[in-house]
Amino acid sequence: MSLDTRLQSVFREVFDDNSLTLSGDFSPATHADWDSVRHVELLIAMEEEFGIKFTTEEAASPASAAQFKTWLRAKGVTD
Amino acid sequence: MLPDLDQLRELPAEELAVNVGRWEGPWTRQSAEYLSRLADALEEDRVRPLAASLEPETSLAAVWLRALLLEKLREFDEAAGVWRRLWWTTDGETRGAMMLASARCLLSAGRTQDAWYPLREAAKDGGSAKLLRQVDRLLRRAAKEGPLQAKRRCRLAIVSSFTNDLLAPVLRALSFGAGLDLEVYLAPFNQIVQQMQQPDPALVTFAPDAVLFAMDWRWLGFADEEADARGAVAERARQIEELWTTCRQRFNSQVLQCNFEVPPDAGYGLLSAALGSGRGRLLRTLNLELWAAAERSPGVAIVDVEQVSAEFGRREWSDAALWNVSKQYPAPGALPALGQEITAVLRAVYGLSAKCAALDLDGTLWGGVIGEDGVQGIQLGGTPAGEAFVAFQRYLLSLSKSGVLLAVCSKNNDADARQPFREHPEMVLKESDIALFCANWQPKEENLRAIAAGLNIGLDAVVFLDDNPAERARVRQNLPEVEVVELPTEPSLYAPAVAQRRLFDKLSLTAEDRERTASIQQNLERQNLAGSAGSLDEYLAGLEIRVELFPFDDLNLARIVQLINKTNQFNVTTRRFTETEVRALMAQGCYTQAMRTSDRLGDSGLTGVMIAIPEGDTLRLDTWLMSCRVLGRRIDEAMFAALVEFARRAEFRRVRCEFIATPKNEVVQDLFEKLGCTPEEPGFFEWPSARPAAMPSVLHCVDRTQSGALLSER
Repeated sequence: MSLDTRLQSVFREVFDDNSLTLSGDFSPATHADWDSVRHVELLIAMEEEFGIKFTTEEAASPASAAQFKTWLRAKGVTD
Repeated sequence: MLPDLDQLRELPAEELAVNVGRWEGPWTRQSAEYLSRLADALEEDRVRPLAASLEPETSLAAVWLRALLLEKLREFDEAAGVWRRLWWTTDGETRGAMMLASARCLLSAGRTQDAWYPLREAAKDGGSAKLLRQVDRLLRRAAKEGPLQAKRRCRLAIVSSFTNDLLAPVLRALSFGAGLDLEVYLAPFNQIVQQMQQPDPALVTFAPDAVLFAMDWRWLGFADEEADARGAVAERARQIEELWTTCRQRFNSQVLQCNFEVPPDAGYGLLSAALGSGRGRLLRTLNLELWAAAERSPGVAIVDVEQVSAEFGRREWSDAALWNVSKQYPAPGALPALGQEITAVLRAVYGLSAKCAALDLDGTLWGGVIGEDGVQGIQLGGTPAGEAFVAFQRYLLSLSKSGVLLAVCSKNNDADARQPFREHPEMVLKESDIALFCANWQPKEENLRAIAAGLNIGLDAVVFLDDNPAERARVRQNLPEVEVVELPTEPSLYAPAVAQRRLFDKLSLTAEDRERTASIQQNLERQNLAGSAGSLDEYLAGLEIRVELFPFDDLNLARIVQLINKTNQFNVTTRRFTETEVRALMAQGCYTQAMRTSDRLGDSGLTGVMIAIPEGDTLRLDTWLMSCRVLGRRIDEAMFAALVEFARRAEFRRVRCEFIATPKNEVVQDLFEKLGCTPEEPGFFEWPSARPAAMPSVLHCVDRTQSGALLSER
């Protein structure tokens, strides 16, 4: 399954919204319910889904869907 | 290996259906997850033709996918029907996911009442934090329609030195699986002492029934080496005990205290514990101090983080990066383990632990079939495979010693079934360890009903242990209230499988717990005696019954609270109280009466409880219950006579008795009429204090309840 689809299904699960469509600018700035707890939930869900580990620096940086994609690709997750 | 999802979903509907229909091999969490993804990824216009092409008979995968697609088509009733057919037979790691999907469809179909069973079953799956989080979401959805179906409600405040936002949903789900409707309040992060001395108004308004103090080892601030080791431990122990005291004074709530993990990777290495002043040694010493302090502090229980983190694996227990990012502790993967530990304590506090393990024999207590293989032929001890069964029997014997009743529920001839107990040298369990022996050819659900009735316990207090999946499915279907533990195919793993479900935990061990099996057996003998004696009083006189009535005291409180929380049948109001609540009633000056009885055949111990609350010139009987083991001996008349005598001495005008009918307390529905009370408004009965109630002369009764503050006050 493509990275986009997998990423979207992680977001759908964490935000508990089956109709959520993921765009690159999806971020805490565009989504008020992306708070610090959601952020940790996203990190955990992605680590589980892709079998990777975010560094402390990544985990603590401001993120967006596009940013996550960049990190995931850098960790060897392919489309 | 699962086929690539993107390729699979491009296939024409019929081809895809055939493909899924051919799936074989192990049915795992991953395969279930994969199908959910597939259903999720399919374009809308492809869903209906695919659902129509899937043949349910072809494979389990086809059944799952069809149900998922029906849900996507919003045909919730039909989807729920597909899941429903899998309820009893689905075992193993996909049971939770199946129950979750089933509950989701039922809730979407507006059938909240039907959703409780699958929700509860899903909530028992401690294997995945994600699944538990989803259960919690459904619970919150169900809560919008009305109160959750639960045996008890608990408002739990978590006061903590780490982040608990991720623990809360996991804990709520697991508690629901144990019969609790848990509401959680998270106090602001790392304000432990502050919250007790000057609590947030929100915490005060929340009015917790229980407070969980969850601190991690860092909070203690122990250096690698402490100059004054003894002083450092004593100071922290004192501070924690002070938290408990303040908490109990301020909120009058049960206290749960997490103890401390000894973290891995200490810079001091071996020295950390080898040095009397090292941190590793201090943490271990402090944990011992806390156990001792909890034992002498009423209403305080320890959550054994030291043990559960070791069982889980200390290195996996923490996530160093997430600690630095958000003070997340323990690691996300460890949340279900911590949640189960806390739930086990709550289960014990609220008296929801199981009382009886009903055991199959062939394949469960020994290998082979006794009716076919004979005593010499069964596997038990001697060989490695035989040792596994011996180990399981040892575990069951420990359960029995801790007050859990063991019953046999076996399809066998009675004589065959008893033979190993009597003759096999490697049998750990003896007939005297079995409270009730049911070996016959009746369906197991009937024997389980007989066991529950014979032991005077509810079916929901029975745990069924059987190696045969078909019997387990049948019991689930016919008696969904019975807890069915899935025994693995490997007998060496039976004991861990049962232990990990945490169904039998207790916080204290009373004398009655220790003697329970013997006491039940004596009772069966009494019933035989009753058959042979003439009149009831003649029979009772022959038993030489002694009854002692006395006010509640510290020594007996654990047993009193246990009875209050588990007695269902002879219980006039079925009000449940925690130890803390009972202490509050005692402090208010209520009339309290505990009853202990013994006879020629043995000591039944503390088996009766009464609480009456003064209301003006009236003494209202709020709680009255007796263990069913001692019914039919006119002890109820003695307890009531003592109550009336007290009301007269304390110059109350009347005793007002309350009755609340439940599905289980039929045995007391005419109790107050039989005692001679006058019916008042519905649910209430009256006895004027001036009129004495007769003490049955056939009992030898000592009444020590005619004293106390209430009497001198009035």
